[in-house]
Amino acid sequence: MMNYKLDYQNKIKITDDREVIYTISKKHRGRNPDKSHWIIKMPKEVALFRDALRLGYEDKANFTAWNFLIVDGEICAIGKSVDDLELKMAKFVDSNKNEQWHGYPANYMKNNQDIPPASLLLSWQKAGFITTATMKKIKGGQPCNL
Amino acid sequence: MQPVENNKIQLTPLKIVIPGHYYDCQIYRGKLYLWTMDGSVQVYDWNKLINHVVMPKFQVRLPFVFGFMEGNFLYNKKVAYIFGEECYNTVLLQQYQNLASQSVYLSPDEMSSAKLQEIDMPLSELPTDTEVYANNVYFAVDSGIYRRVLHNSASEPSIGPKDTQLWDCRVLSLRANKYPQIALSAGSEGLYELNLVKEDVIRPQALESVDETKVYRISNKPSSFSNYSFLSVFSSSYVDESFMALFNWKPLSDVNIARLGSKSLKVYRDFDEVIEAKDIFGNVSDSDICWGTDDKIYRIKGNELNVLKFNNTANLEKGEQYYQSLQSVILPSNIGRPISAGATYFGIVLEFTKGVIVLRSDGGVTNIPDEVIRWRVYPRSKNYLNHLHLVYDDRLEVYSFNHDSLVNQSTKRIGIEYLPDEDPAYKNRSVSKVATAMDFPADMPLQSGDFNEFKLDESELPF
Repeated sequence: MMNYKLDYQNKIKITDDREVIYTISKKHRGRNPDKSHWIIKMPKEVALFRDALRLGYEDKANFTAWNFLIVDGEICAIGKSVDDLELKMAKFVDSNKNEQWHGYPANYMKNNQDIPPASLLLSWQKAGFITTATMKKIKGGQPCNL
Repeated sequence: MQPVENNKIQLTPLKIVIPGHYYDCQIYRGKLYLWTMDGSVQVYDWNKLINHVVMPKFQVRLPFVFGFMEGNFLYNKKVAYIFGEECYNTVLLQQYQNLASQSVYLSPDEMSSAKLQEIDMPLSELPTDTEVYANNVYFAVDSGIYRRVLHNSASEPSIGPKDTQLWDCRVLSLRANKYPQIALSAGSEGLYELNLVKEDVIRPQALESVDETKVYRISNKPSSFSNYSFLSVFSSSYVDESFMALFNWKPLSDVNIARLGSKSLKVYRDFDEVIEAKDIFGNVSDSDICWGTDDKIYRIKGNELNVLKFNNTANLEKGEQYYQSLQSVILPSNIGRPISAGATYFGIVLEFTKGVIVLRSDGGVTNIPDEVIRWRVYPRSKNYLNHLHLVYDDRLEVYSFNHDSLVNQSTKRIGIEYLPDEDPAYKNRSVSKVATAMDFPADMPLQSGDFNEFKLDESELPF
């Protein structure tokens, strides 16, 4: 198994034609009081990122990608908020629009920018990962049974 | 119907079920608008559905007229006079009770018979929220707030073809008031207001407009959803403290009066201050949920519901208060924290993960199980003020609550106080040049004393 390091640029192969850089940000590991933090191990974080791009969970217009962790048919927590609330959606960002990415557990209730795009939510609803009620609540920043 | 002081009669709601896969709904001026999961918006002739499809299934008419088409009829004093007679009262109540025991299902063919229009979903995106006001439908999508025109004429399509973008910020909730404003809860971006008043000199001077649009920033504090309480806006948040954005009437400056020219306006609505929930309710914790609509403000803390009466025009110098405690109600201990909440005339609506609970103005409770996609009430509407619409995965349920006209409005503790049209606080709008010039709605509920501080003579009053 690959050993990942914090703040290190990892090359991740998405397809034969696409290789990107993913950095596991130190800001979201450990107890940074101003940031959400991962509770899953680094290899799982990288796997979520890789799968997000491979599965097409990208918002290409805004250079973001999204994913969640499903274990035995259930969406599991992947992080915690600054208020110690469980977070279940991962957001990945290519801030400089040059295929250099990093990610963090997203808090859609607290931050508008952590609400996934409507098109992605609809595709998850059609795939049966989330119900229509859950989709509507995430869009509206409401509490839900994610 | 005569007020029932001790709530002996408790009318259960009527229900119509429309099978289908819907996402949102609105009802306005005799038309039902349904956003479908198939990517379209369907428009139905609601009155035709009730008159020609629902009523023929039964031997009675009045419960459907009052229940689904003319919701404010039962509040009318003349109607109440007739049905105050026990012989008529008993018959009508029995009709309601008989109908409440059975739901009315509308088949796809029956719905088709009343379909007026079906269009592709505007911007090909399910809206986060919608609102209908002054013959326009406003909708919030990822790229901002848009508007389409609604037509009443039979010769034009019900929904116009053109999307007009009003603002490019993501908004979580839209709510219009009886004046020409729409509160915009923009989540972590704060609370804003779309002010549709025509003349810029009577738009808020104490607020900053965004990029020279008609959108004004009220507060940077996070806002999840909001409702109007008279002139003011109560903003609710799932992640931060809720607050009241207090607005009041202000005197127009001589310069602005001159700029208005021939219009004889002396006052306008402007922002005063933000009052946080902790200053309204006292101790407020993160798990509390607070909301307000019209004359009442509500807070759920644990399993306790607190209700306050709101007086927008309180004269603090005279010792009057904005808020007066009305009552506290203990809710079932396993009720949990509501996902959302709202208020209308017939009571308050609480949404939970497993269903919706209506705490009725007559003291009753209506439990409606099953997780709901969305619910709506229409307190600004005269015809549909007794409706509750619930959108589920496989159907729309239209409830009609008809108990509130039996409740004493001035003493009721839950739900908006109904002020009958035939008892306006001031003059009729049609004789007021000021009201007409400011394009005030005809049914704006003013209270006695609203304009005392301006020392205007009666001819200058908006009403």
